[in-house]
Amino acid sequence: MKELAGRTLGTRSVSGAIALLLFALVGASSVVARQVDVHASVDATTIGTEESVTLTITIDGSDGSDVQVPQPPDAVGLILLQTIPRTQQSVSIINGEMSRSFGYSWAYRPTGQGTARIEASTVRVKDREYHTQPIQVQVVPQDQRPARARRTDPFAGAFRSPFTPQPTEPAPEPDESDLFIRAVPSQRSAWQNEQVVIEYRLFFREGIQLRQSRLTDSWDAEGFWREELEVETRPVPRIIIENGLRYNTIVLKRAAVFPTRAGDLSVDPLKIESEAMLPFGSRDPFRSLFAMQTRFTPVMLASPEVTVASRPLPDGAPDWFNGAVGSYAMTVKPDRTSLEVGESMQISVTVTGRGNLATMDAPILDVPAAFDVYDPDVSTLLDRSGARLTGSKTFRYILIPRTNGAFEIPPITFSWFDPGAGEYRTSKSNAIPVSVTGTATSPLSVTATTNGMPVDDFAPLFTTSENWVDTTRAPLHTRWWAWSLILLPLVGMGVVQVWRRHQTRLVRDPRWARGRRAHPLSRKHLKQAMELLQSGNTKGYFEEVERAVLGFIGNRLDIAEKGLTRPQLDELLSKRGASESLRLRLKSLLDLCDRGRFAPASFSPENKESAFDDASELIPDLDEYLDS
Amino acid sequence: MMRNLFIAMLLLGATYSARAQDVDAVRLFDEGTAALMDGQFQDALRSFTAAEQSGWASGALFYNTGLAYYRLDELGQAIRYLEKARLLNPEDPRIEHSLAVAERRQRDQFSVLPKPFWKKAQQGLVRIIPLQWAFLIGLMCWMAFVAGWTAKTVRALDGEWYRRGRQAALIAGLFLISHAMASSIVPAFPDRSVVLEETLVLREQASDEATAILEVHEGLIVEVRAEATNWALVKIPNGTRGWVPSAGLGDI
Repeated sequence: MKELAGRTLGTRSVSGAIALLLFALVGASSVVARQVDVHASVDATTIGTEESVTLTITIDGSDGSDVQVPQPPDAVGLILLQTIPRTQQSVSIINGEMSRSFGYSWAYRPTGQGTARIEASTVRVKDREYHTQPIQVQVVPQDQRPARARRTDPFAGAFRSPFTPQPTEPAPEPDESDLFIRAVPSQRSAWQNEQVVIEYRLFFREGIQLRQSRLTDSWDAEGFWREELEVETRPVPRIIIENGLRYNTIVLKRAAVFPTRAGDLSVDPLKIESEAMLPFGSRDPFRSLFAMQTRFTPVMLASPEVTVASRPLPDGAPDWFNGAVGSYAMTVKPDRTSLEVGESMQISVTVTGRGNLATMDAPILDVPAAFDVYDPDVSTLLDRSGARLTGSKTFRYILIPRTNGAFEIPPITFSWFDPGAGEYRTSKSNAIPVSVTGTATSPLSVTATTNGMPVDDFAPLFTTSENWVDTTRAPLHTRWWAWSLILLPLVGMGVVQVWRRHQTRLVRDPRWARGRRAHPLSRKHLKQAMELLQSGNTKGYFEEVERAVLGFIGNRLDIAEKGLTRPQLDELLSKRGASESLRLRLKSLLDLCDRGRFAPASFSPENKESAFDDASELIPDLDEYLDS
Repeated sequence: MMRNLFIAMLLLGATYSARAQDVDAVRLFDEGTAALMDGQFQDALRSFTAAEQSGWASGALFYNTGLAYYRLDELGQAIRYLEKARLLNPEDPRIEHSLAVAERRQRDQFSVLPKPFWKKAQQGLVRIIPLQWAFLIGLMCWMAFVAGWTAKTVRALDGEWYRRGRQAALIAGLFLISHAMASSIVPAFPDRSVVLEETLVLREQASDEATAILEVHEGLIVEVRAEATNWALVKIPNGTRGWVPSAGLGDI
C-alpha cells in the first residue's frame, strides 16, 4: 500500500463522507459548468526529455460556436509540435442540468533539461477576452522521470479510433500530485477559545476513481473543543487548476475547533484508506471492464497535521467575564413582572452569536434575597450549516418570591472577548422591576433548622424592641463623671485619714493639742469680752481680755498661766525670745486690765476699746514670736 | 453611714441604667417594622434610619434594618447592621443565625488570623458583662470597699469577715473598673467597617495610582487601622493591609 505524502481529511462521520465521495467520483471526468470559465492545464508538470506535454485550454460553458480559435501560447524550453490545435467537446447532465465544455490542445516537446514555461494565453468568447495562467513544466532526464501514469488527454479518447491498438503498460499508481487531502484552517493563530474552522478538501485528478474507502484512524484534536460543521451530502466536484494541473475537489469535512489552552496545539491528520484507479489511456469501455480488477491500487490518504498557535486572552477582563470568546448579543426577557408570593416567574437570558456556545457558562443572576432562584434550564441551538458555528443558548431561570413587596432584578451582565476587535465587550440588560403581592409565606412551614430558624434565610424580624441605648453617649473614658466617681472615694479616704490622724494627735499630744487650741480660745474670749463691754460690764470685759491674752500664752507655752506672777511671766517670755518691746506691750496691757477691773469708772469708752484692740494685735505678735 | 452609702450606690446604678426609651424612636421602630412586614422595604428603612438618627438604638432596630437591606439585596449594609445588632445583643440566636446566612453569600472567604489570648479574654468578658455594667458593678464594689475601710478607720469596725469582704470588694472593683476603662480606650471590638461597594481594590498607598494588592467584595468586614482624606487603611481578616476609599466602607 502506498502512502501519499501531502495529505488531508476527517470528522464525525468520515465514513459517511467517504461514501458520498465515492458516489461523487463515479463518472467524475465530466464537470458542471454553468458559466463561461476558461483555464489552461497540462497533462504532466514533470516530464522526461523524450516525452511530450499536452496543453489544453478548456472553455467551460461553451460549445465552441462562440469561441474564437486561440493562438497557441508561447513557450520557453518547449517546442510547439503543431500549430493547429486539436479540439474536443463534452456535454454532461448532472442533477438534470446540462453543462458543456470545449477544449483546444497543443503538444509541446522539451528542448532540454530544466524548467520550461508555457506562457499565458488569451481566449475570446462572445467579444470577451479570458486569460489563462502561465504553467511551468519540469524537464528531467528520461530515465529519471517520476513513475507515473502516462497522462492522456481526457478528450483524447473521443478522437481516437476504438480499433486502434493500445500499448500494454503496467497499472499506473497515483502519486501525491494525483490524489491528496488538504487541510485548510481558517487561521493559524487564535485566541484561547476562539473559533477556528478546519476544512478538509479532497483533490483528485480527473478520471481517478476510488472505492472501498474508509477511515483508518480516529481523528482527534487534543487541546481543542470540537464541533462538527455540515458538509454537502451530495457534493458536486469543483474544478480547480493548481500548478497548471486540473483537479476536482470536494469538501470532505469541516470542523470548528476551539483552543482550550494557550500554546501551539496540533490537530491530528485525517486518514483514509482506499483503492484508486487511474484513468486508462483510452475510454474504451470494454477494456475498462476487463481491466478493472487489476488496475485499482490501494492507497492511504492523510491530511497534513494542522498546528494552531493559541494565545492567552489579554488582561483587563471585566468582572462578569466567564470565558466566552466570539461575537455575541444578549437578550433578557421575563415572562411576567407581577405575581403573588409563592408563584414563579421565569427570566430567559438568550445569548446569540458565533463562538463556543456549548461550553458557555450561565450569566450570573443576582436577585434580591427575597427570591428563591433555581439552577437555570439551559437549551442550546447550534447552526452547523454555515462556514462557522453559530447559534444561541438560552438560560431560563425560575424565581419564586418568598415575601411581598416591590423588587428590582438588577441588570444582567454578560461579557465576552471579541477576537476580531481584540477587546472585551459587555452587554447589560435593563433592570427588571417586579411587583409581588399577597401574604408572605412563612419559611418555617417549609424548612427550618433544629433551633427553628429558616434554612438559608434570615430569622423573623423583631416586632418589639427593648433595651434602647443612647447612641450619642460619649465613650466612658471621656466622661468626667466616670473619673470623678472613681477618684471621689479616694479623696474621701484621704480626708478620713487626715481627720483620723488629727484626732489621734489631739489625744496623744496634749501640748500640740493646746497649741492648736490657743488661737481659737483667744478669739472666743475676746468675743465674750466685746459682748460684756456692750452690755456695760466693764469689769467682766477687762477680765475676759486678760484671760484671752494669758490663756493664749499658757496654751502656746504649755504652762499653767494662772499661777504665774508678772515677773515670772516676763522672764519666761524673755527666755522664749520675746522682745523687750513686746514684753512691755504685754505688761502695759495687763496693767490696763488690772485698773479696769478695779476702777472701771475711770475709763472712757474709747479707752476701754483700746484694750480690746491692743489684745487683738498682741496675740498674733506673740504667736509669731512663739512660733519662731 | 454604711446605709447611706448603700442607698447612694443604688441611686447611682438606677440612674445609670435608666434608659429612657425615646418615644419617637419607639414609634419609628414600630412604623418601620410594619412596613417591613408589608414588604415595603424602602419605607421601612426610612423609618429605621430616622429612629437611629434620633439618638437611640437597640438590637432589634439594627436587626430589622439589616433584614430590610438584605431583602433589598444590599449585602454589605445587611451585614453591617447585623454586626451592630450583635454588639448590643451578643447572644441573640436570631442575629447569629441571620448573620451566618448573610456571610455565606459573601464572596471573600479569607483565612482568619488567630487573635491574641488577651483579646479573646477581653471580648469574652465584654460579651458576658457589657462595658457599662462592668463599670457600674465595679464602682459599687469600689465604694463598698471604701465604705468598709471608712468604717474600720472611723468606727474601728473590724474583724476577719470584714477584712475579707473589703479585700474582695477591692479586687472586684479595681478589676471591673480597669476592664471597663481599658475597653473604652481600646475597644474589645476594634473599629470595624464593612465593604459596601461590590468591589474594592486594596492599594499600597492612598492613591488611585498606587499598586493594587487585591480585590475585596461587598460584605467583607475589615478593621480600620488609620484614616486619611477620603482613604482608610484597613486590615482584612488574613492580615493583609491596604488603602481603600473611605466612601466604600460603612462603620459598624
